[in-house]
Amino acid sequence: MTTATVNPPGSRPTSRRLTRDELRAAFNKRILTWLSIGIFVFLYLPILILIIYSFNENKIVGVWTGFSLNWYQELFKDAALLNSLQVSLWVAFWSTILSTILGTLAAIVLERFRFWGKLTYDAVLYLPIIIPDIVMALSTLLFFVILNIPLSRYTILIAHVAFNISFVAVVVRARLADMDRRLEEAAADLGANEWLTFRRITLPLLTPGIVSGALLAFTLSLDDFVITFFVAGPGSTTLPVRVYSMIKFGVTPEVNAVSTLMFLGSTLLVVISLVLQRR
Amino acid sequence: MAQQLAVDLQNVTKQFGSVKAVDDISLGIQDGEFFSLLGPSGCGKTTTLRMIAGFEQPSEGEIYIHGQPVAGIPPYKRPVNTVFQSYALFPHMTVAQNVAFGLEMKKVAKAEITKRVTEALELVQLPQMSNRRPRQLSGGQQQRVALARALVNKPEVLLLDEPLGALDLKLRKAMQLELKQIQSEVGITFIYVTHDQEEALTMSDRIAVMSNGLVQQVGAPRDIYEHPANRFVADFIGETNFINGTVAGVNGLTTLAVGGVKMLGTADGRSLREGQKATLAIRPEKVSLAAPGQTKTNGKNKVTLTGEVQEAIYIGTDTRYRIHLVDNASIFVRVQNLGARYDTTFKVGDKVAVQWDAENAQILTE
Ligand SMILES: Nc1ncnc2c1ncn2[C@@H]1O[C@H](COP(=O)(O)OP(=O)(O)OP(=O)(O)O)[C@@H](O)[C@H]1O
Ligand SMILES: [Mg+2]
Repeated sequence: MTTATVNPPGSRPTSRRLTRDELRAAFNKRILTWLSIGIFVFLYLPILILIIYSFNENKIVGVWTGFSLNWYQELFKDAALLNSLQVSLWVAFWSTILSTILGTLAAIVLERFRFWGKLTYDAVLYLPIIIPDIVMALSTLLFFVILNIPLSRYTILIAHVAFNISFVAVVVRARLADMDRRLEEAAADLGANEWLTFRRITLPLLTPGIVSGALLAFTLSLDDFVITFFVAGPGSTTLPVRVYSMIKFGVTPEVNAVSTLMFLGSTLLVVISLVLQRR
Repeated sequence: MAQQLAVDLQNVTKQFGSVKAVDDISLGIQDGEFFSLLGPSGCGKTTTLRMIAGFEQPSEGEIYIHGQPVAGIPPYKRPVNTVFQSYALFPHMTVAQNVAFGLEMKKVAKAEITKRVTEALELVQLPQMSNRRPRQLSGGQQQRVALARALVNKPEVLLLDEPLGALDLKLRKAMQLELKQIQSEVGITFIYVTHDQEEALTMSDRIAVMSNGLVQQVGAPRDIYEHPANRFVADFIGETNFINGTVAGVNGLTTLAVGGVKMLGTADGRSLREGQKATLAIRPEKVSLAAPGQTKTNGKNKVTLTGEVQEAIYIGTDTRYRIHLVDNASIFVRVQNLGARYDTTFKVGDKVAVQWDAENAQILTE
């Protein structure tokens, strides 16, 4: 008979050699860790450099001479830039409002009702997400040209609403699909008609999805370049398009500064959207 | 008609594509009755309930609630409330808001709502929880909120779809008693769906046993247990021995010939022909064992057979024997362990006399 050895309490377990599997697991874990760090650096290092140089005193990008908020001050003296910021915000605001309403309605119709041609409608609605921006841009421009609509901030707005509806619909629909249908049945069972069920149950439960859809729409609208570039009229450019034209005269710290602000703004919106979607 | 039925289903069928979920059922549920729909998974219990609530329309047949045909009436206008299997509490409302919802829809005055919500929560013993959200409650508490939310509306009929299904055994037993008590307090008609035969037997005034969309039998728990209408019911409710044979005599009691041995049982009014294949069904606790030659002879319709003990398992309150009767026929027998002074125990291999009252043995066809 062998006697069992018992470690006294508090003693360390006796050290032993790692098995092959354990070694491999540790090795894999290390590789994965470095790989993900590498990807992060690759993604964010350029942005980090851009942000750092927006605080550079020197006008020549790449030569660091000292910290300064000068370029941010310059921004607010640039009338053309401020105008484009105003257009950007105006377009983003209204396209968010319109696309959120229309996108939410589309999501509800697609998720809750059955009708003839639903599959086609479904596919067409998601098309703007899939097809290349440049195709969207060209076709939208063509549409305005054919209908003889002069390009202005309103054409930008229409174009933005067109693609934002799809994104809002996707987000809201996902939330709707996750929702327990029994809740709506329970409301009906307790005496709520269709409208009251929608207002008291469906809509409140859908709100986080609608809000994150709206934030996504706002972000996409602020960030869009390609489509806006095609449908923007004279004197009504948005911020990204304005930045692009500034770059034609060389990358200045001013461009860095405005890009930094745009990056921060977008990040903030995305974070809010993610947090809301988690709820 | 003596009394108007609370719910009356007449030849109701529900077809989902090619599936007949409910197949031509007719049920009359009395006012104030605790009525259970019992059956295995997929037999159409939920579908039946949903048709009464108005979430599904019957493909054929008619449903009446207190004499009124309800075809085409939407759920929110029907005088019934449902306790859903998954509770379906509104996650964005507090317990009190959940319970108040139905009254708000009926535009009951604010003060009255507060009063009735408080009463309802007291009835289900949850008065301190009114400001919590559903997800902050245990399963049993959620179940009681769902019950309060339905009861507060004083519906004519309360529909309950396996409301205790998600609870553990102990809590389920406690809730069964509580539910039964609440039902007798408020006096509302309960239609209760379950697949737990014990639950149905202990709680119901009457039970409808269903399988494959058909109603197999309707009756009081005792009727269903003691006089199952067919083999399915006998098998589904409780434990039953089945012995296959051929009908050999039909005057008064029915005689079944099983491998040369004659066994007596009752057909309970079912018409059987001589020579027909049939099955004798007898509950393990309705059979008694004795040493050969020490059989009791009282009772005129006693069946006495001899057998051999194949298995004897002590299970605390009872001992469970498996007795070989004839070729291809052995039965389980439960003998209560009454204590050392009264017990006669048998060992594997013992020859025993096997007895039952013919009235307790059902002769069934498929
Ligand atoms: N909406 C539906 N569409 C198609 N088939 C359905 C639908 N609802 C139910 N069925 C089918 O009808 C049959 C009965 O379903 P039902 O939900 O009534 O069963 P049940 O007795 O409640 O079972 P369980 O005990 O598992 O809840 C099943 O075969 C089911 O697949
Ligand atoms: Mg069910």
